[in-house]
Amino acid sequence: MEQSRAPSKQMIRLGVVVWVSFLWAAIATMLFFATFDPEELSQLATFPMTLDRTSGYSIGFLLFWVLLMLNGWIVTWLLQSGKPSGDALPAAEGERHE
Amino acid sequence: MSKPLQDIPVEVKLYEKSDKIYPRETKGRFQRLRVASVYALLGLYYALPWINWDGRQAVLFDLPARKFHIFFLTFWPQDFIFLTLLLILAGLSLFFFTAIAGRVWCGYACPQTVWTEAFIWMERWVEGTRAQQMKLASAPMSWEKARKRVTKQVLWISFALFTGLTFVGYFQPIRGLVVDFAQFQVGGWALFWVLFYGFATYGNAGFMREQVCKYMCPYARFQSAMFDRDTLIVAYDTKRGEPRSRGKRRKEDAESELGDCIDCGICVQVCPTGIDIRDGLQYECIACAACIDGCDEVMTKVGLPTGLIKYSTEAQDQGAHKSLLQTLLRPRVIIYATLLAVVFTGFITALVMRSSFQVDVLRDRNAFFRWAENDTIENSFQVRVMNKSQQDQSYIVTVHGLNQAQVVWAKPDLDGNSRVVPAGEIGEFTVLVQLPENAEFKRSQVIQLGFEETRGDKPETVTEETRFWGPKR
Ligand code: SF4
Ligand code: SF4
Repeated sequence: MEQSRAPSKQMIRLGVVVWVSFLWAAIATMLFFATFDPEELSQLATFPMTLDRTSGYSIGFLLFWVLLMLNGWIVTWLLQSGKPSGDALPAAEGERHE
Repeated sequence: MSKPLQDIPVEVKLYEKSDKIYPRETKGRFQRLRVASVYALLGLYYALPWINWDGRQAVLFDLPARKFHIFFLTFWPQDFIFLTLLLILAGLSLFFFTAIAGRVWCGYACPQTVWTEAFIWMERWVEGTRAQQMKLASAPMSWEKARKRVTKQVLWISFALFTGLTFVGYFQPIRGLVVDFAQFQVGGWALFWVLFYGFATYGNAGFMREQVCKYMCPYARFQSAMFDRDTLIVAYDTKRGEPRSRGKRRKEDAESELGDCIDCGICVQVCPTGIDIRDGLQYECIACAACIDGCDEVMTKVGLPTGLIKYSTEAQDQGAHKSLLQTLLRPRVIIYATLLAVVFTGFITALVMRSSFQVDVLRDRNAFFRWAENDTIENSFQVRVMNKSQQDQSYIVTVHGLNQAQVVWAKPDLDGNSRVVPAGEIGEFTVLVQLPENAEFKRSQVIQLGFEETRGDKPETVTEETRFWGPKR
């Protein structure tokens, strides 16, 4: 798009990574904490830890989110950087939206 | 389905010089539908936590207590299956509705659309129409401009904060929360989530708007997989509209064969994602039908039939004539509908058959057995009885699978052979299974502990299997 409002590629990348990770983190948090009680989990920690449930859920969600974001950021970075010298990359990858 | 992007002329630039999209306001049936939908959905969102039921908040996801209250239902983590089913149902419905009606979700129900619409209303209320907004944006800073900008931000931020507060109000009783918030007494995670959700609303609905749909939303890209030739889309009638022509040229060419499109550009101006629907279906189109409303208005004004842009299907566009029924009865729709019906029936059945209580039985870990008075062999079990119903309930316990065995409630030491658990609570008890020494037994055998409700019209029973250990013979 040659529209003037089009954000830069890196901004789009950031937005996509943050948002998609957020959605998955929400789902992961639901499924994980429906199965495990953070209060009891914290008692199983290898070091002394006191964690009430509200903090447990919140930290759990943020942790999922951060991990997913890091992963997304690295994956997208690997995909867009470093073209192998030998083989030709398919043309205009990522520009096609059907 | 859509043309490759590079083939699309960048006509948008003609109308759209600044770097913000100012969707032009529309009137019409689809806009009315959207307004109704925004009121209904936002109304529901903001009102629901304030409704009380049976002396508590009707909808409360009480995370610290690990209980979800939804009117007369209370869900526990043990009801995990319902959450899973609900997620599957949501996914299937999305497939189903997308196959039939295209992106109705995007146009009328997605939180992104709904909150953006609300933010746009506030913006218009302060800064005026599209033209006024654009003028204001390009005007040099003045008192007037500053006042408008500040007013808008104050409105937006308050609304966003209230949205965040309401969000947290689903997880923590909202009446207390609002009072605390007004007195700056909210701290910790509650405050964090109020600000977080408020900020997300503000960012998504105030600033990013259509860019969320264009660049970030997985559904927007994915939906084409659920589309087929009979899916409802917003389409421009090329045959009727082209060749388009406008103004003076239109008058001069009046003799020749002109299309109905007067090239006024309204359809582009009203589009919240800034595309030109006349270039064909594009994945940016959220099917909001603003361009239909816009174009219909213009057509009426110039005395031509409406429907130059309309809800249509690819098949219809290519001249196929199908009845609504024919359109609906196609394999894809039938398959989605069947799946949906099956899972939904399962969900309801499971909900109705859900037992009103649940029991966890844990063997005492300290000893396999012990000798009790009168030469009986005794096994001790930790029992957690979860009363999932809305009434206090009392339970009796029985043992099966081992002749001559007896079972009694022990700790907490109370009289009687039943134990009471208040509504929605968990009772922790010890149960002792006793066996006379002279009875028949193996070193270890399976037994069943039965728990029975004693109150209500239809007392339920739950049976738990466990093991009974005796001495070596
Ligand atoms: S494209 Fe995505 S974010 Fe935009 S309205 Fe549709 S579902 Fe919502
Ligand atoms: S092209 Fe029309 S229906 Fe599609 S997003 Fe724009 S205004 Fe809405």
